[in-house]
Amino acid sequence: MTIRALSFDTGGTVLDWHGGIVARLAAVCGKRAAGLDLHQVANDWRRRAMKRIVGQVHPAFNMDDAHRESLVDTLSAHGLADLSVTQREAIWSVWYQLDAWPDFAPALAALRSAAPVVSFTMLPTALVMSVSRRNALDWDAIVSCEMIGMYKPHAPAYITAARWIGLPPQDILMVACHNFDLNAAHAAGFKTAFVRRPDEWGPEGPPEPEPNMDYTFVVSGFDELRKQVLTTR
Amino acid sequence: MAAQGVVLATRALCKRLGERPIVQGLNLDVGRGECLALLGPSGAGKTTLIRCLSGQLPPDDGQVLLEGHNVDVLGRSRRRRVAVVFQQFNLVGRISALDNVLAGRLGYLPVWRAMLGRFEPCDRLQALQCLERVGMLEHAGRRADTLSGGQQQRVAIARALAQQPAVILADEPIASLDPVNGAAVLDLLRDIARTEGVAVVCSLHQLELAVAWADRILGMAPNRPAIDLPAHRFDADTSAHIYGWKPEFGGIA
Repeated sequence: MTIRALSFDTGGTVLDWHGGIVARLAAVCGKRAAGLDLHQVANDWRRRAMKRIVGQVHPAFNMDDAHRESLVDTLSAHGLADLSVTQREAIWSVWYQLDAWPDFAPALAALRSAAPVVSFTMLPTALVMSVSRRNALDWDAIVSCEMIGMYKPHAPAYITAARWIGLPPQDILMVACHNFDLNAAHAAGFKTAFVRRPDEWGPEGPPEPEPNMDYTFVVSGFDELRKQVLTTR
Repeated sequence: MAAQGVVLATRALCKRLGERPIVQGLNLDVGRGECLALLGPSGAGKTTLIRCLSGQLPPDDGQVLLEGHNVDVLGRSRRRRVAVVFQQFNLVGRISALDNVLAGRLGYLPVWRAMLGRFEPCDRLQALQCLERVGMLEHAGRRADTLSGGQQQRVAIARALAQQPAVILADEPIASLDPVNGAAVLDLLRDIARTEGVAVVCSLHQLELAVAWADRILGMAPNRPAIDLPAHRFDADTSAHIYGWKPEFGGIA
């Protein structure tokens, strides 16, 4: 099998957004957090932000804006409408300070010794730069849909990413924990790896924990991905 | 409150509406943080004067000066320092409150960005801060046409604030609102004048409200010279000059 590069979905697949957001909400809300299900607030925010950005074509906004603006409706829906703009910015900025899943950095280093690895993400470039520095993640490149102007799951986003990586799609392994992303990557000609992230959505569990089609790899973590990719390559 | 630093002035301003003079030789100074009410019966020319002050209508003679510069020839960077609030709010109904407020930032964008509606993150943050200022932050995501009249006028004021104006010109801003919401909007405008130092010029129909709200009143009457005086000196004689009748103070509708 030829895998000459890997591209990683980053927001949901690499970053523990749920844990980071819940912790930040707790810190900002203080005592008020006691009566709230912060897991639900975090997931509601994520859903609303994703709804804004997925499938956008040359939008006049990016994921930062989607996060900022979807937070308004999220807070209103959960009885937190009176939070000030300053408190909201404190919550919003957690996206720049998220932790990566602990099994990712070692796998990334090992995979990069064998092939180029890029972040291929709907998150803004600046955000991925920030979390990458924070978590000591060394990519060969960051390819943000913000740069392409076309967001997942539009085929041209994947085709463009492959072109910028400089390889035909069939030589690139797209790694993600979401079916919508991998289905689209597959349709664009990529090889695909489904990584289970059972904790991505906290106690609620992911909406689609299992693959919905036959991917090149299906693994339960990044260590397993590393082993499988490096042995089959 | 004493006017400190004139931001809006007219010098020998003459404006006619058709053949009828609205103002003749008007010399007016409005200072930072000052509230000026334009008072007078329908047809006195309040709206025409506001359009003249905002540069939408040219003077027939004389000058309107914004921060010392002739309004006639204001460039884009100065024009954004005048914000207008309308009786009918003039929001775009099918977009969110936030997007309406963002329109107030258009004057700060390079033209190509403004044409594409591509705002900077700082513009979006500032728009949210403006909505917070008027108590509408929690409704930022709602379509403007789902908001009540009072809420829409607050969003319109937030849009005005997003322009970072030196002057807000409000043309009958409470005429479409019930008394409670109308009073709240006037309170908000005065609070903005006091805390942000914006000069607010507001045309009003309700004499008692105007006297209570304004620092100064410009009384306008058809075919008579306008009179400019501190609100606390507004009395029955002034009213007679403007409206042609002497009201009983305390019982004026």
